[in-house]
Formats: sequence, C-alpha cells, structure tokens
Amino acid sequence: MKEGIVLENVKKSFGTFKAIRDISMRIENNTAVAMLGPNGAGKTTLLRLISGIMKPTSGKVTVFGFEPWKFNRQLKMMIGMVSHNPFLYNDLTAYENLHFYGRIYDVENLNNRIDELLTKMGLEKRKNTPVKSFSRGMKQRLSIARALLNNPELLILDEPTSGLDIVGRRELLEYLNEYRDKRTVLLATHSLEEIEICDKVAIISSGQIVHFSDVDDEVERIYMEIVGRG
Amino acid sequence: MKFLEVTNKDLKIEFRTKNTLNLMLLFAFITSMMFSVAVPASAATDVAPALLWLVFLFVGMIGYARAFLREVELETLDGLKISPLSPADILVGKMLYNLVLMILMEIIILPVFIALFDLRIANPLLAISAITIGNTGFVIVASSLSILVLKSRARELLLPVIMFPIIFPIISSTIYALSYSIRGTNFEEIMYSFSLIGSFSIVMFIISLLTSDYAFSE
Repeated sequence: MKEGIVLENVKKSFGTFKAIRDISMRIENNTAVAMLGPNGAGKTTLLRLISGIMKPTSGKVTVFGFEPWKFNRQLKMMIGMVSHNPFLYNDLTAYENLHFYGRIYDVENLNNRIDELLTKMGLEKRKNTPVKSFSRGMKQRLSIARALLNNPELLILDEPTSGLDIVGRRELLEYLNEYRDKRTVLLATHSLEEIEICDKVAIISSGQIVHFSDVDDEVERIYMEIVGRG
Repeated sequence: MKFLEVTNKDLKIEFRTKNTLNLMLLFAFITSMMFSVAVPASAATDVAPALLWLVFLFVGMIGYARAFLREVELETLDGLKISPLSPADILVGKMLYNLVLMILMEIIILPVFIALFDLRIANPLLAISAITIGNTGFVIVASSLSILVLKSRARELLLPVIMFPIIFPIISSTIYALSYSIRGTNFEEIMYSFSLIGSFSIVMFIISLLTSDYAFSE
C-alpha cells in the first residue's frame, strides 16, 4: 500500500468563508493521529476532505496514493468513517442497516460479522429494533459498528464519543486502542483525554494546523495557549 | 449490480413507511376525480391523455425527487458517498426505485382513471406501452435532475422549473402516442413517438451517468 495520507496546500472555502487555509501534512500508515481543536476550527471539514465527501477548493489530498474525492472503489473499500451524522436509516433495524452497508462493502460472512459487532457494541439485544427508537448513544454505537464492518485500513472518527455514556466511552477508547496498532486512525476531538490513545496530535485553529507533534505532556499546555485559555 | 442494494433498501423503507406512496396515491386520486368532474363526457377522449399525463407529472414531481431528498434529510447521502458505491450506482439504484413506484402507480391509477372518464381504448396494449415508456423517460429525467438541486435550499421549487422545459419532448410524444392508441389510429406515429421518447431517454441516461461524479461532489 502506498504512503498514507498526504495533504499539499489544501484549502477549502464555502463561499467567502475559508474553512481550511493552506494545510500541508503527511500521515504515515498505521499511525493514530488526533485532530484537536475548538468548535469551528475546521476539524470536520478536514476529515470530510480526507474521506472524499468533499473535494478541496485548491491543493491536493491523497489517501494511500488516491485522490479520495475521485471515485475509486479500491480506496473506498479501505475507509470507515464515524461522523456527527450516524449515516443510518431510521426506518430500518440495526441488523438491516448493517446488512445494507455490509452488502455494499462485500463483507464476507456478513451475518457473523454483524453479530460480532453488535455484541461488541452492546446492541445484540436490539438487533431487530428500528433505529428510530434508539437513543443518541445507541445510534452512535451502531454507527461505529457500521464504520468497522469492512475492517477499514483507515478509520476516520469525528468526535466518536459524543452521545456515549461513561461506560460506552471507555469501551470505545479501549477498542480503538487495540485497533490503532494495525490501522491508520484519525480522531477529531475536543477532549485532551481522548488524544492519549493516539501517536500524534495535530492542533487545528481557524482552518490551519498550528501544531503537529507526538502526543506528550506538553500538548495540553500548548493547546491551552493556542486556544487562548492558558 | 451494487445499485440493486440501493433499490432494495429504498423499497424496504418505502413499503414499511408508505410515506411517498400514500402521498402520491392520494394526490393522483384527487386530481383524477377533479378532472373527471370538470371535463364533459363528449370531450373526454380528446383531453384524457393530456390529463392522465398531468396526473402522472404532478405525482412524479412529488415522489421521484423524494428518493434523493430523503437521503439529504436523513443525512445518509454522505454515508453512500464514502462507500464503494459509485455515483452512477447510487443514481441507477434510485432510478430503479422510482421506476418501481411508477409502475405501482400505473397499476393503481390507470384503471381508476379509465373508469372515471369512461374511456374506450382501441389498443390497450399500445396505450399501456405509451404510458410506461413515457413514465420511464420521466423517471430518468426527474431522477437525474433531482441530484442537481439537492444542494439548493429551494430544491423542491427549483426542480419543476428546470425539469419541465427539459422533459417537454417526452410529455408531448407520450400524449400523442396515448391519443393515437386510444383512437386506434396512426400506428406509424405511435412508433415514431416511442422512438423519440426512447432516444431522448437514452441520451439523458448517458448524460446523467457521465455527469454523476460531478453532480455528487461538494
């Protein structure tokens, strides 16, 4: 597999608003990177550019050697994403949602995989319940199961713990801690606690990466200085 | 054949909720009833083909755009965009779903409309073919254009505005073909209309496949 994720002078504007201002960075394969930043910093836009949902206004994004906004089945098979929106159909059951996505991703032994993930996410008893009756936290857990269905090489997580209770949050972070050893993980978060499972941290402010380093004890101080609360 | 997954999923949701179907059926029944009351029996054969198409057009406007709008409202379109489904797969899947809805509407509405107008159709097979071919063209155009308006705030108002001028060749040809089928005359004209609808639909289908990548990009 080609070099991980490369961003070269990437900019993204919405009308006159510049959400991403000239970001260049390189993320090696099998690295877990936390994207840390306050609300409106551009974390979600950056992840949407990397996932291929959006194309950059200028600059170039490549993921495993492919430009993600241009359709490429091989690349899409390698990406899993948990977003603010769970990408779930409310009128389908948990099983039907996972089955739909599993068929799209050509997941082998799909029924076993669905059962395995539902059990892991503590939703096995709600397998045949329509998603519209799920709480926000349950939807989030199902969304994580959906993103993991294809065992993705690149897992993109945009505030995955929002809506989860303390136990759910801890379980997810433990699971991600295991997962990150074998895969590339991008985690957007507000929480300094969550970055501890990552190898590197990128602090984003006003659409720019203002700090990119290994996760260490200095990160909290630097972050507080950058967001002006130190 | 990934597009079949999209069609299956949409049909499962629609048959479970019946949101779009109920709305389409209700609208079709009401407009058919109103037309049958307003039009004198002596003029029924002349105006019925156009009125029937008017019913299908209005119903289609309500229903066909919903296939994409539902994904936007539920914010699931991004889930499809990051998946290994190509934009063409998504588009064709939605078209096929709309085609199934359209055939269902035909099966339900056509007998009711014929009964209300007391129509005597000289060549029923050709009449049904005319409606089905016309509606297929309509579905292709409506589905293709509905992607283009997805990002617009006034999408439900914008769709008819951009669609009616484009779809006019299909509307006029279907009305001609249907009129001739009801009277049982001008077999050659009917075939000409069919070929016009067919070629127009194929061109629109190819254009929509070629442009689907750009239509879905943000």
